[in-house]
Amino acid sequence: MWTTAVNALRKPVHLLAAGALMLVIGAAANAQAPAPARGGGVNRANPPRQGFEPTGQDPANYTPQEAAAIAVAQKWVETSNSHDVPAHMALIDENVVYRPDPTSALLHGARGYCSAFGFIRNPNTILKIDEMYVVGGASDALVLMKRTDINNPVGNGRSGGLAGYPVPLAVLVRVKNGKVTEWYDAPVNKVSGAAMRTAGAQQAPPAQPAQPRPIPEVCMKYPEGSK
Amino acid sequence: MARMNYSWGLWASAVAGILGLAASFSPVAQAQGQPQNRAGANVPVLNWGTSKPEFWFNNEEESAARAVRAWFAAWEAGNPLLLGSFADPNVIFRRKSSDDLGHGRDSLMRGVCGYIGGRLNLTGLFVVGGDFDTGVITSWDKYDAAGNRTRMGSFFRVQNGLITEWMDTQLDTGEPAAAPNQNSGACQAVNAALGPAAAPTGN
Repeated sequence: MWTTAVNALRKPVHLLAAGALMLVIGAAANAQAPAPARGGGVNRANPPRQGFEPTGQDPANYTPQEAAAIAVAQKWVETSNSHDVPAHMALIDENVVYRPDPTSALLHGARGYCSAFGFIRNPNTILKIDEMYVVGGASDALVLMKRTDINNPVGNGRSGGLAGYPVPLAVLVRVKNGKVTEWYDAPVNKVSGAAMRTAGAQQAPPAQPAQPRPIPEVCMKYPEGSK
Repeated sequence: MARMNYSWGLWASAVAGILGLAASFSPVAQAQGQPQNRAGANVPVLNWGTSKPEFWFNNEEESAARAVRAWFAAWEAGNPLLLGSFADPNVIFRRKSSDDLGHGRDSLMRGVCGYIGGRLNLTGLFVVGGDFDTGVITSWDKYDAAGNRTRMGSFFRVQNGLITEWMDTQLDTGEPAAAPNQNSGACQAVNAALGPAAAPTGN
């Protein structure tokens, strides 16, 4: 009777022992596995994946400069939504390069930026970050975000404008030493000012010599910057 | 017999419990529970996307990704005419972020022919696009003849499968790029295709 019982139990005991052994070996191998090399340098364990390179990022693997750039970009949007001009402008390099639109020339200086980046002064705009990617190092960092803007909802916009309609954009923000050194908005959908101008759906301004836009009083204290 | 089975079952569940407890307190499990960046700071919960596998791309994003990959392949091959074939005739560009905007495909090809070519490795490609325009940033490694690596970043805009804007920037501090060689074979090929560059007009 006793022998029969022991024989019957031997199999489950062996299975349990084997399982425990596999668990221990697996945990040890996991702890000793080398961290994946980043940057795609020459590495026999990680050969180049050109053409099949990563298209997404794990924030846990950001370099310190990339993490800092993401923090600046996040604050850049937050201060836009809070319409806190001083807090927003504290993030902006005095020689910032900017373009409100792909059709714009390359413009320079914090004062002009303050004037062009109207979201910080208009209480009827809401900006939302949908996606954000970063590549950066000690010299420069590029942040690409997908941002959705809601401009002048509840009928506050001008007739024929984008009042309240969500406008998605690809936004480039360059960051260096904790400051935004470049801002560039590029609408990605046809529902956008740039696309409507291109398609002729929005009335072009009357042909007159270009007049410099007046700088709002709140922006006058910021430096004009130099190239 | 039933009593013996019950006793072994208790033992087995006790052993499994101890193993599970040990695994949960291991450094590996703790690292997974508390994601940290390289600076050691805790990563906050983000309310935006950071990971977009290619099968999530929309048509425009896929088209832009292909154009940008082709750009880098042409660059590595040292072929400015092939590179130009992926650019819009009205492309705008900056060779480095501090430059002014250059205009036009011909100007682009004449501008890059002096230093195009050489080993590179594209290490990341991130795309945001829609039916009007697509923005792309890339990370890539540039290698000089001695095999020294420079980490680079690029920004592109792509419309209808053609690159409409390009900018390069050096991510890490390091040696400045070598002076362009306007007598290179690549520049001769561009001149043969486009004709010699017009002499600058003076006042």
